Amino acid sequence: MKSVDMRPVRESTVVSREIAGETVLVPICRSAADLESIFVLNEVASFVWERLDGQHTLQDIELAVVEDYDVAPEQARTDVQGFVAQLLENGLVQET
Amino acid sequence: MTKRVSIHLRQVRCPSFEFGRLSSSLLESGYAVRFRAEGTSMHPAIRDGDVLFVEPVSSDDLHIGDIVLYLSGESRPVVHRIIARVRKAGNLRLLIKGDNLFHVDEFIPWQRVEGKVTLVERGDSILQLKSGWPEMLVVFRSWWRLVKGEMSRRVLHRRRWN
Repeated sequence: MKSVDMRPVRESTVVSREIAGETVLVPICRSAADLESIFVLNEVASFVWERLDGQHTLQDIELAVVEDYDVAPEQARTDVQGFVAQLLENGLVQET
Repeated sequence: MTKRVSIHLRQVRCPSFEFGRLSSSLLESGYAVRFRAEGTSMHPAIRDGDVLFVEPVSSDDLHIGDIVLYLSGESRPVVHRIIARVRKAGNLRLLIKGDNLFHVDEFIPWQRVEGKVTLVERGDSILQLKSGWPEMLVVFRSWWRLVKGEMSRRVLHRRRWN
């Protein structure tokens, strides 16, 4: 379980683009955008991704998700934390 | 208004129908792109499964013999070679062809070129592509293939009518 005070920040080596209504994350590998391994985010994941700026804590993000989407606070916490853990695992964000 | 929540992160290979838009957007922003080639139209210079590095390019950097990524009429990404350059009224147009094909693709304005292939990764080896005489030999061979293709077509046409 991640600390709710954690302020994850997007890695500078990841480029995001809006393609056909979806957010696509492209890692920069050896100075090139690697199209062999891109990440696609759904709507809620994009909502969370936009807030991973090193300013918002996980708790801020969880509250924003509860406010905008039909989800119980406990479920939002589990989902946001799981998502951030996945991003960390794939080197797309870093902890601050 | 609230919506049902689910948070998804999917790791995929860039689907071909999105490839053009994504590669264009990245190259226009100055990023090089890296992706796996499919097909045999550029064999043996580029083989099916090779990984290509494509860099943004300006019109001054486009030479006969260079291999470029461009979007065809249906926004389909194509990696083929420049076999001729024509400058007309200040506009540069390029004739593009796959090395292994008997026909040319089309004349395109240089602005349709997304980028130039500078590196090919094949297994453990990395091949650096540069403009120079070995490429000119490939271009010559490509033109010869074109002439041969045209001659065969004419022979077939004559046989059909005789």
